[in-house]
Amino acid sequence: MTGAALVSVVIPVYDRAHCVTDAVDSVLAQTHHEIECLVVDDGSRDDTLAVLHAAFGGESRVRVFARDHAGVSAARNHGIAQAEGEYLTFLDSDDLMVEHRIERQLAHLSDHADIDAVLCRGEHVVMSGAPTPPWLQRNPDLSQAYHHTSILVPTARVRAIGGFDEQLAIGEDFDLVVRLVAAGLRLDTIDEVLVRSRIFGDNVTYGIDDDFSGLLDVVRRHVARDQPRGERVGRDGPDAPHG
Amino acid sequence: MPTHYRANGPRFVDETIDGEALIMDMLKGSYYSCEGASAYAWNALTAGASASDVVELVAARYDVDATRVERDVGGFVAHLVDEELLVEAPDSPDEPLDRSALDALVPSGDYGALTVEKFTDLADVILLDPVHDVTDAGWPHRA
Repeated sequence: MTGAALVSVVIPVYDRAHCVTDAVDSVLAQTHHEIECLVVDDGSRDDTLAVLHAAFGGESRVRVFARDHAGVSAARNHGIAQAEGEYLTFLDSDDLMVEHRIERQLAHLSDHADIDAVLCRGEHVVMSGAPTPPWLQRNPDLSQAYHHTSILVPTARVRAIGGFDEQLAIGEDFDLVVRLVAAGLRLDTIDEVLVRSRIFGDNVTYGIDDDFSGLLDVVRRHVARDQPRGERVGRDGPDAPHG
Repeated sequence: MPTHYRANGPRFVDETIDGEALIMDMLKGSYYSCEGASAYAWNALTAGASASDVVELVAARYDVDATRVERDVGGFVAHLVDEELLVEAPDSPDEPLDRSALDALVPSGDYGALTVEKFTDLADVILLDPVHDVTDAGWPHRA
């Protein structure tokens, strides 16, 4: 039964005093009320921590953690370690959850006994005054793509694989999903926008031009871990039987 | 006139590190791996070498009989074309092949049959990846 399940939402944040409260508010506004929001400040240099404490100091469903700067994966992993929820999901500090997102994802899990986790689409919204990233200019179809960090997953499954790989500079969210699936997680998708990903002009997503190398790096690591293989073709030479 | 080839981009992206070539099909989510002489041959082909050029390069690099290599390269190229990783290039390359760069990519070693291993276990996950930088030719959409 997922209806009353406590869901932990981990929000890593770094220098986002201007928008992080919106992200937290969107979590607190969820139609699924059994929520805890773990905001992990990754050593912000601006007023992020002060803003969070001022806005949510009296809110029992929000816990704020302050850490030395160690990167987004380390921040998320800290949130994973602190989570008390049966289920876990993530939200970037400049993003917003659609108010029925958690309810929708839990209902999907409840309706499909053969899946363990579900992720959804996110809509990229370019905020006023911000330049449109080059990849979005070339491919407007990507404005509503699936977001790996929208995954709603049993907390235990994420802990079992050790959380995020803190050695990865990019592709760490894709890597998490790859390792979860390789460990047997049954993943499904909801073809619906349940996250609004806001582009302000200083997001990490502007640097996404390097994504192919990140993608290849994650797959290369997967191959090196010698996971079960798919179709084998021509392994013993061109004259060998295929398949 | 010898046939020259190129990697079938932007659908396929590839990278060779420590003598292993990893090639990803961004349309279907499958990926391919080849090592050693196979990775060497792959990089030579995608740099514009013809099949006969590759025979000569591989035979010299791995100190192996050219007749044997010729048979292997023929099958390897046919297979790569069949899998759509390689397509014919309309012209020979503008620049001569940089042999030293090719040698630096893939260390020499024992010669083995030219093969590429195909994997489909991550297809669904790869196809979920939200952001891909592509050329002005645009993103290949799922079939």
